[in-house]
Amino acid sequence: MNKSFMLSLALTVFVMFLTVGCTPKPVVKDKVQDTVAVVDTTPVVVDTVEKDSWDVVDTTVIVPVENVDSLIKANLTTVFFDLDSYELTDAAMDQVIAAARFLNTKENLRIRLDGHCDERGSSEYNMGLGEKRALAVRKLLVDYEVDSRRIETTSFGKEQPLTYGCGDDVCHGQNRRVEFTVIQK
Amino acid sequence: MKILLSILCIIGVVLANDAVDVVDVTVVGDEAVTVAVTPFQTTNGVKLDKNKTWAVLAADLEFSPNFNVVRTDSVDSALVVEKEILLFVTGNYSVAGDTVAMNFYLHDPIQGDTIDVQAFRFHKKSSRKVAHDYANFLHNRVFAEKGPFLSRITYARRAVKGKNVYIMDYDGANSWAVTKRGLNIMPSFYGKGGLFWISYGRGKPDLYKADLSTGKTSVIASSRKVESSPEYNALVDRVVFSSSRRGNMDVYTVRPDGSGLKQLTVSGAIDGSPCWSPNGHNIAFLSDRSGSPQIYIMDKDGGTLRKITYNSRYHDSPSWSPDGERIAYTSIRNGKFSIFTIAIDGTDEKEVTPSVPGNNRYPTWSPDGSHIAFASSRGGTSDIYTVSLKTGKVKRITKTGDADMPAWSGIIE
Repeated sequence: MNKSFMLSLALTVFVMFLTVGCTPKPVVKDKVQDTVAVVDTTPVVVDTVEKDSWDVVDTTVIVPVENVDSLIKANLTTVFFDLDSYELTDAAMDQVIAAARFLNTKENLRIRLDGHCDERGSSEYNMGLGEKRALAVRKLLVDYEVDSRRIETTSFGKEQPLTYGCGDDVCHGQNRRVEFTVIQK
Repeated sequence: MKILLSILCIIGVVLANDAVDVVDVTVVGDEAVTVAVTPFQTTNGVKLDKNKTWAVLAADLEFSPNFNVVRTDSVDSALVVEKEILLFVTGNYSVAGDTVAMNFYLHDPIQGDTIDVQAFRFHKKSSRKVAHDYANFLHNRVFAEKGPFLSRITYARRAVKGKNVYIMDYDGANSWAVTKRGLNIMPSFYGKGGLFWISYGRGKPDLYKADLSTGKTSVIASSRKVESSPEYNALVDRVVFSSSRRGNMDVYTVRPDGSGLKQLTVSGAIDGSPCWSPNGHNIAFLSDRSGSPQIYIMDKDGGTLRKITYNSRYHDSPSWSPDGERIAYTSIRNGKFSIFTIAIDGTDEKEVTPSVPGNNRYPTWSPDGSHIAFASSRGGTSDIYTVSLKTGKVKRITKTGDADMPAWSGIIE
């Protein structure tokens, strides 16, 4: 054993014991309260109303209909979107208007509009973006007199791409879409 | 000499305990303590063929920035001086069928004493847990703080159809599927025995809760719209999540039983991906109200809003550090998704994964704040990795591919 090392260590231990004792590490507290807002952006409209009725868990179960016929498939076609956008392109508007006219001839049909995003980005933001896309399609359907009660909307974010592992935007574009899912024939 | 900078207090409380002098060792200060770990010896000729407890112990201690680890076959005075070893661990064991009897010896090479002896008797399958238990003991003994070695990570993994939620040890071992079918995403822990996540089990994304001990699941928030991104804070006993139940994606909190819903944001923008500050006083979340997704902080009732990110048009997945001082998030820079951290006043942004190729997303902090776990496509498919904030060392902890959305538990004893 190195004697100088041992001696130095023993002295250090002794001095530190005298001076600082064995105080545990201080607990670092969350310092949020001590900070000052550096930038104040758009004020939030705070609504903290607590409504008992909101506590009721919705028990709706939406089950896609299997074996949808080719006529329905031909008229309710998937709508595609530009990157990070939920605006309907001209082509998409034509598709949705055609879908509205078809739905108005098939009044028993109920649908769920499934918003999807490409695989880039994180799921959380894409959940919102996918829903915005579904809502954009829903709004145009309702504008063309489809009963809103026949339409559910949801978002799959980036969780169900048509094509996995895209390497270019043409491929990614196939995943930025709203699909029509029939939930009642 | 670095060892002399360590503030070491040795209180020589010598107690009669089966002829072993028990010395209480407590170290304070920022210097790492060097610990040597030697292979344990079998006493009956039967060897552990896998999950060697001493190797898991050494890996645990290497994970912690509080320890430097020397893996060695034996410890002598020359090695102690050269490596500045303050403690070393030896052990022995015997194996009878599936049962292991194992002794851990903790030595003080300076005093030449054995300062702790612990005996464990366990099933072979528990070898890793015993190592984590002992690492926690050692961390607590030396630093008077609980160690992170029994913490776990939950994550989502793509299946043939949909996705399932998994839980694994913090080092990637013992992964198991919590859900078996359907589309299940965005898991986060509810204490040490529960889980929240989003499931499409009823044809739309609802907020589910599971009791992991009983397997019982329940829906605690559900609407005809979208529920997303749950995270629980035990101090306020509330789950924060985002929902579009009132027409637009906003931030809400709810009690774990589904009662007491509160809406915190009301905007025409996408407000989502909320996370709690550790003390439950504040919530960070993303909003595209300024035209692109950015990170904001508000108090737990929705007031005192401030934006903290400005350096890119894309920020997502905020995660608050355990000490409350920083927030990690995903941002896109030069066409690549990377993990960054920033001080909660919006200053001092740092990239955590500058050397990690591929896209890196979904940061989550280890409970001791020393590491961040994230999902990376660096291997060509998405897996979970951890990165040390002290050394930058990156470790891949899943190898199945198709894994993302990690969420680290708190300290588990």
